[in-house]
Amino acid sequence: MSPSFGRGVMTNHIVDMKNTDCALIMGSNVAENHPISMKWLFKAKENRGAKLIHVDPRFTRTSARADLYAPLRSGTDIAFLGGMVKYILDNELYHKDYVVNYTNAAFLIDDKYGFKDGLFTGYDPATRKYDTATWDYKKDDQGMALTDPTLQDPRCVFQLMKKHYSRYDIDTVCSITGTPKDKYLEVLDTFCATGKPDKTGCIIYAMGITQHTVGAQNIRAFSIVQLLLGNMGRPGGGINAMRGENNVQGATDMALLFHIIPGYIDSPMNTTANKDLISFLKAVTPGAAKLPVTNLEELRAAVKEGFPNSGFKINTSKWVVSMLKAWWGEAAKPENNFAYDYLPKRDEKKNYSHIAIFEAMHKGEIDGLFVSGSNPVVGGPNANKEQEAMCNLKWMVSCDLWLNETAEFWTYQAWERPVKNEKVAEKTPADIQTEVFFLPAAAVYEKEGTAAQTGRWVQYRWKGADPVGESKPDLDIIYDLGKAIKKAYAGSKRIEDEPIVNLTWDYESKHGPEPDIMKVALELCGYDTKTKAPVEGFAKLTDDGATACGCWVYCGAMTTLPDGTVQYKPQKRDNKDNSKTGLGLFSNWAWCWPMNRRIVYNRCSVQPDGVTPWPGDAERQLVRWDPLALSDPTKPELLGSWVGDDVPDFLKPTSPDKPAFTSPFIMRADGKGGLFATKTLMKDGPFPEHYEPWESPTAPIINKIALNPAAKVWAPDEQGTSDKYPIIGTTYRVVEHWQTGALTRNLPWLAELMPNMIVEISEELAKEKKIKNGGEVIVSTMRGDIKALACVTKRFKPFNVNGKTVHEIGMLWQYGFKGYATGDPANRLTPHIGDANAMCPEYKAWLCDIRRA
Amino acid sequence: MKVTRREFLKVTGATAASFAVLDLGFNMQATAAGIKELRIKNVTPTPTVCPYCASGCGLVVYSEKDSAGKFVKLLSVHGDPDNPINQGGACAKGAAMFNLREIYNEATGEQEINPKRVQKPMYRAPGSDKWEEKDWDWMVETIAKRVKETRDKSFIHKEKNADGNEVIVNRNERIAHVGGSGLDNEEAYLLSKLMRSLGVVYLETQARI
Amino acid sequence: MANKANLYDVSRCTACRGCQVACKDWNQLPAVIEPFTGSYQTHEDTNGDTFTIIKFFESEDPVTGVHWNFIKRSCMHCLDAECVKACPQGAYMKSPSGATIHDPEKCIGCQYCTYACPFEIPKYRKREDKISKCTLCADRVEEGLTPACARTCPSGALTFGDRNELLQQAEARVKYLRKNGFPRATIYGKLELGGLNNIFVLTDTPDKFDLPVNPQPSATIGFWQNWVQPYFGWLIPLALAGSAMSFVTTRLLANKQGEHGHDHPVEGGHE
Repeated sequence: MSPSFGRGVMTNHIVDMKNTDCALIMGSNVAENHPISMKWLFKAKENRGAKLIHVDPRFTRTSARADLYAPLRSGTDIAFLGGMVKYILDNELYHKDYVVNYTNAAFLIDDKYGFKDGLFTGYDPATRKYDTATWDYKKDDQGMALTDPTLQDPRCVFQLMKKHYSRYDIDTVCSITGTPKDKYLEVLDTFCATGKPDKTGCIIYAMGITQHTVGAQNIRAFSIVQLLLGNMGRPGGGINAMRGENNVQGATDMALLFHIIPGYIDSPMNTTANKDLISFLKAVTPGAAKLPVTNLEELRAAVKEGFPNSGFKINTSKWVVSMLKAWWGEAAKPENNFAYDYLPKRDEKKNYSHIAIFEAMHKGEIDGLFVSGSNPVVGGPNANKEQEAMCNLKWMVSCDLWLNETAEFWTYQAWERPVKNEKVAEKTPADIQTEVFFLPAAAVYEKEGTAAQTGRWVQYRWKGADPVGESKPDLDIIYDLGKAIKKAYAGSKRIEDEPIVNLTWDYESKHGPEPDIMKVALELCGYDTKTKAPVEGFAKLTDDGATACGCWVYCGAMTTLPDGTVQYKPQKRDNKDNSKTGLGLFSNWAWCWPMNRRIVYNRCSVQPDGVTPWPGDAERQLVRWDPLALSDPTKPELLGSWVGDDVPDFLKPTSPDKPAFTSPFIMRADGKGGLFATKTLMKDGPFPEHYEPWESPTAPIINKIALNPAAKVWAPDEQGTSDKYPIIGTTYRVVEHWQTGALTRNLPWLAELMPNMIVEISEELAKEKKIKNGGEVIVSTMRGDIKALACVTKRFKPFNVNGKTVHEIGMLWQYGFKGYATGDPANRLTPHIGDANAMCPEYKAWLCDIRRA
Repeated sequence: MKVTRREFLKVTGATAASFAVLDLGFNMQATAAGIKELRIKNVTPTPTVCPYCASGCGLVVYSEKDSAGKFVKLLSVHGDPDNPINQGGACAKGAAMFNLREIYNEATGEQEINPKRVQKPMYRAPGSDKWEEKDWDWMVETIAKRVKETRDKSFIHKEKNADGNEVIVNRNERIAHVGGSGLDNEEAYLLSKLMRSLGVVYLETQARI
Repeated sequence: MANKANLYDVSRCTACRGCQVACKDWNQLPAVIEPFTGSYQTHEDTNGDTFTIIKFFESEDPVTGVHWNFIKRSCMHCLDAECVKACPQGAYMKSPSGATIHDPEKCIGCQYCTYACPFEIPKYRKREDKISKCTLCADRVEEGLTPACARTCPSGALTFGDRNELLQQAEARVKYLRKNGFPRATIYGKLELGGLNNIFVLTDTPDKFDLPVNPQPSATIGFWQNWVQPYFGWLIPLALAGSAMSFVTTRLLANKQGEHGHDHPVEGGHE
């Protein structure tokens, strides 16, 4: 979503689903994996007559409650959505005012850009990479993009898009997706009706969309549909990315990811462009690369002045310096570039994502592994390989509530397999020389802290029980570990040890040796380095060392109240809906980033004039331009401000005379919704194009390319083909279990509800393979085999793919050999290949075979 | 500026106390003989948030405390009626939160700590086929020692990049980290900071998987 | 006091089974882990440590396609409860709000109630040699709280409240459903057996949800409780020790199964 809108977040929130006129649930099984959503979707249904559409390979508990269910073959979402784009354009169902003003539809594209036979311009087959130089706007002498607001110029994004998707006619689409044509037409009709200005429709997706070699482009396809229908930035609209783990949003915000540092800033690399602080800041601040500035002072002056194509990220230097200040305190000084050198610089040529970690480990390139509440032996793609890789570790630290499958990867049980397979290693504990440290962690309600839920609401959890036995909150464990590491390096004068020796690590509470969570929270949310008072918002952060802030997007979450006490806003519990029209914003409940904006890009909820609501939709207007309001109470001379029930996701003083007045996507350099993803935003094309999964039952249908041409192929010899493995396999979760099951298969009540590993298969396939409902089956792929129980069901049906009958089976992602409910991990079957951009593994579509055990 | 735990807890107490009232949906007077006494009568629940999917449903924890206010055992965990997301609702997973700590024994029906919870740090020596219990100090110090050994052996302070320029990289590619999406923000933040100070670049959370 | 009831609307149920677990949490019930046998449904029916379950039914219609129906089953809390009448020990009573409650102190584990119940709800708990079942959380309700199942239901399928008000809601809902794609939608529990304190809004006829279409108290039981029990109630504990009772129960059981087995074939079985 980031390439389309500027941020990669769920744009609306769960309660807001009640405001929709139509929900397209695709690649998500909300009723099972985010059950509370159904409460709000039912309200939309009952109060607004909203329609719920579910598109999924299998009929699920979500389908059971949807108004319309349409099956599609796993891995064909872009075909499905590309056809929708064509349908919208052909039938002129798009929201014209919205498209012209709020998206880059009118922008003209470089004449050299083109697309042929499934490839965009600039492709190099040797490296499987694109040179994206031609994927750019045509610009004038000032560097400003040229536009054609009539949308007629053949080089404008709108026309290029129309041309690109002209191939996605309904028959072609259905021959790829296997969707019955009548169902597909019904979906198109129903959802595209939200293009009317007084209607909004939302898209709800989860890992059914991301876990593909085209995962990021799947989301791009959603973005295009939603921009065309004018559904972004409006209540009941948006793209609701349903996060799967309670704080995966927060862990991403804190950048427990190789490619970013806290607050979504690209992590520095070993490039010349990142060699020192000023070079790095110029590289990561949009529009700054070519500025003639050579130091921080000059950059500061340029920022104050403003420069084109920068958007809100023009402030990046303040976020980076404040973070360095938070991490290295006194040691981060102007003289040493605020200790920028201390930050690790990754190798620009290397990938460090999940798959890469285990590939490197497999080659013996990694000695030590920390596992924090994660379970790759169950949840890692190609789990056999990942488990084998772990045997090369010298040491592993696992921190969890349970001795999960990963903590016990070295046991006899861990190496039991249902059938002998030469591709899978056979090991005993004696073969495995890894030292394993298991640290028992406290459960969620045995400690306190905040978590960011899927709609970015950061809520506080208080402690309701003592940790069992000697288990400890992770905060204490991490703190103690940090102290011990710092102790081990104490007194070192080596320059390479400075990042540890000088690391600020003083969170001790007054009452004992354990850390005080409020001290951590203060550093995370930002403080004035002189007064130690909280910084009241990221607009107040500076790049001169006067402020320290661990993660700028959380700045403003801590505040000093008028009576002088400090409030941590995630603790707020006022549950009155502050919206005058009952939109369920609940702005005084907890806090949400950025700056408590509950629906991002909410500038789109009002017409370009900033005042008039969309025709017939006054109740869903979130913000407006008020020429008499004050954007800053201390500056009464500056009249005019953006105001509204939601915090405007817009620079408050942006007045109608400014060009940015109609640019709602403030985190994008051009301020417009990206129908066309320019330059390096996407690695595999400015428009989403359908490619088959790495393992596919069919030859390419719509173009000549099978696999996403920019997806990295790690292990070509691990690819299965449809002659040996004719059945599509997919994986998913059920409501009764969560992720790898460590946190649910160890709970007797949940083990009772879903006691065994199951494989769901259609009655047709069961008949063909003589498989009995409830009987044991073996599923095999190029990577391994598992044994499971068959669930023969009417809810899976064979697909008609280009005239050929193709079967698909599905299985639970969540089983392992530990706990009260056990079974073979499905990921022993899944491949080590990921999306070209985000590198999410392709868990959702691969080839297998099944037989009676 | 004062940011103390106590002050924040004061706020908590005030909000938490209001549940008992909000949870009451009906006003009934008579209590019939043979009906058990309400187990959570006069117990102040503690609000938390469900640790499973990211919907962010609020939960409330009811626990028994002794006269000194020390935690004794769990009574019940259920949906937080004040939380605007779930308004008291909880699916099977959220409703099973009690089991995260305690269970009722299938044979006896008695309440006990979930036997699968690990109560002590555990260590597995190279080549061994069993766990040994260890104390926290030994564990943490030994891990720090391993981290230092690995880091010092493989640390890259400077290197020549593709352009042939020498750059300071302060990187360490022989230590990796996975996980953390189940952590609180404060924990994830400290972990991100600690790992990066060690030069860790193989750093991943579950966002990608 | 007015009757309090649970209204369960199948069209709002997503089978998340929060109710099934919340019931165990509140009533302090251990898990009963049984292997998967081909359906998401956990057990064939409620049991001594499982007072409520969600049943799953899969079916296919040539026109409307695949359907997956769910229904929550537990004690119906009949207004005129057979178990109350049948129990030789007087272990059953009605709470002030109309729930049927069972006093384990008085129970001797004879299971007579199980056979008397048109829905076979009271279940034997071996651990204690007693019967157990849903109390509609009488302990909570008497203190003004809602039952654990209704309290936890995330999607709003369960509502607890005044029976008469809920019946009105149910009727309105059925009217709405009939107009919106479910022409056979109906209420269950309004009139059945003189009225139940578990009212259902169904999207299809009761047999599609494995509910007896016109439940009747067993004739044999009727005879027994109206004629034999008042005069010879003392015989039952006595008979329990001997073979006479097993003869009676076997007879009753056989009769009962015959009655159910033919009346309500389930289309497609579970799933």
